[in-house]
Amino acid sequence: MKKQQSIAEIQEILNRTDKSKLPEIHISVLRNIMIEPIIPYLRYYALDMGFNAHVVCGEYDNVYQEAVGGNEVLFNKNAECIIVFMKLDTLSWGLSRNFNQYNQEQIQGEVARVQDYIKSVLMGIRKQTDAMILWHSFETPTNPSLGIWDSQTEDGQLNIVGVLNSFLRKILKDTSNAYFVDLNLCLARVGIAGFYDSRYWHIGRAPYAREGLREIALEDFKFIRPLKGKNKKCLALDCDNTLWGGIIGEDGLEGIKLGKTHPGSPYYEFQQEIVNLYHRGVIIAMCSKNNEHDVWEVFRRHPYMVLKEEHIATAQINWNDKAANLRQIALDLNIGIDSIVFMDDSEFEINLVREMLPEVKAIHLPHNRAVEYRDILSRCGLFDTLTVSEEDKNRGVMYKAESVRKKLLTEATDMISYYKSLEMLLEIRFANEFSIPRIAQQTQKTNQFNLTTRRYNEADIREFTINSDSDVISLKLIDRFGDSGIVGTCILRYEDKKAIIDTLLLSCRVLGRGVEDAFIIQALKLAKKRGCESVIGEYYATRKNAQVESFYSKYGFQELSDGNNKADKSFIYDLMKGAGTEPDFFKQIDSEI
Amino acid sequence: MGALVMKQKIFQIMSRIMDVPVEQLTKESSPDTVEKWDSIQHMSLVLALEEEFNIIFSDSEIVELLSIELIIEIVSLKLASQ
Repeated sequence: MKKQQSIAEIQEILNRTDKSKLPEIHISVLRNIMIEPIIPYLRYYALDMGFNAHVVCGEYDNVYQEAVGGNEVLFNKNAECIIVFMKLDTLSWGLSRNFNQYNQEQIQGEVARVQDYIKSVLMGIRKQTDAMILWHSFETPTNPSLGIWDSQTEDGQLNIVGVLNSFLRKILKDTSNAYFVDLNLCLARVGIAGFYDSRYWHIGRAPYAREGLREIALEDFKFIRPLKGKNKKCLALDCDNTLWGGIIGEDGLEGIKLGKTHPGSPYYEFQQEIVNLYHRGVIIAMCSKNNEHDVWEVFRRHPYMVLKEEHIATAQINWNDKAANLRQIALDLNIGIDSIVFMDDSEFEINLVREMLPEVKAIHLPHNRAVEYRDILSRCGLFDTLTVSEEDKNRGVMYKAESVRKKLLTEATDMISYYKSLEMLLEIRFANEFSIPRIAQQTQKTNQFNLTTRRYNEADIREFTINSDSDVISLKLIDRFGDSGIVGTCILRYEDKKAIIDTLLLSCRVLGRGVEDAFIIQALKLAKKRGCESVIGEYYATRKNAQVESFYSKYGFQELSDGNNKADKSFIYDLMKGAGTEPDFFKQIDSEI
Repeated sequence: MGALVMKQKIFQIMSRIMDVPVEQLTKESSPDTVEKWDSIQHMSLVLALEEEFNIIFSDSEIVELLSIELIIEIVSLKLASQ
């Protein structure tokens, strides 16, 4: 692993990097402590994600005034993330420091006051901005007021802090786009000596030490990365000295280290962690220099392989260079090369990939320290998503099916017969309570096949659904390889006999199967059904959606020279000529429209 | 670590944290002469010095580190006593 950069080095990188061409992210911090030394870490992790962060802090201990009274600087229209540090020591001296001097009635009074305060602040923030809120939890006291008795009673300080955290977790969960950042996890990972700095607490009410600040910033970015669609989707792995100890081609099936006891157990536990990621929706791929047959022999015959063939979406096991193989993996899976994390024990391979494919996050696993592999993977925080949906749990299966489809494609003689061979079944439905979370998630995550890239939360989608002048439809795809779940979303808004396609997106893993041909015609049919005479399609260019720039032209839309001037391109479709018919290569189209 | 190397490192850290070229810094540089050197940036400076030299200042030392000369003096004392 790379050595951690020091504060001076981080500051130097921030000073010297040309940030003028990077996209910006605006972060506002509300706090009742001095937290400014975290700013370089936040900006550094933003830079690591490819963003230039602007961080503004509210006044010290002015949270209530700013949230409830209003503040245009903090809650500016560009603010995408509001970070809240509300330390109990400043908020309630009684609960944090004078606990034993309070009777139960006073304690309950303080708890109620703190809860009201949290509620007012949260509502105040939400009134001013829809930005993501990251609220840092209360830290568990490490030496609670009642000593060992504290853990035995419900009246102790530990339980009271727990009650406040439960309240906070619940109220954040009930607020859209608001999240509970668990500082106790950061504290536990760093250890108390590295987390707090009592000198600066006394000099300037700044409680956290260097390592603590770094860890908190890292935790915050586990939320910010998926907010910006920058979380990683695929883990590509080497085999020898990565999944097992030793070299299969030399040591043989019985000779490699892999099992429940030392020295094979670090590899066994590393594989467990990989499978855990698989069940969170991370795609697993192999990228190794081996004889392919040898590797699959281990997968099939070794009794302690936790990772199975079924978990592997695609594999490049050959003697080509790994940069070329990673490119092929991205193509096979239809994902961006920048959504891959690559892990290998060879420094040579890691450096080659860093050099040739800087977009790929290459993580070195030092093979004499296999005991650390599991921790290196589980603490990297690159794969975090804001929710884990049912689709995520099955995503690996779906991607595996995708790479089998690719193989079939190379065998099929023409596209239509290939499409037919897939036996595709489409389901088009109006959004409902079951599909709304997935639809919102799709608007957050889809980058490539997305005409407008408008990000919505669940409440937004619900509003579109309820309003009489808009509709939300979703598309589900099932084919002979399995159920892909909801893979498409379209939002229509109606204005004087015109339907405007507010959002049209498809998950990249279903592209190249003619699904979009049917979906756009379904959208046109819906507009006609609602009494519209024309449909307006717009294209907003982003760094990732160039492939859909001329999408509408392919379906009989005319480009407008005087369309919406915010959009990069505008198109119109005249419904007088009819909505058209879907291609006939689908086995069935089951639509509510 | 030699005294010269230590001094160079202190100037370098100061230059990075305060975002001023090394040439513009002197032993007399202080919060009065360096624009960004306020109490907040002072925290980052202290954390960076501690990280670089693997030392820990006491709270009373922290509030005394108010010129490059004083920093050099206190860091030398700490390194010598290790």
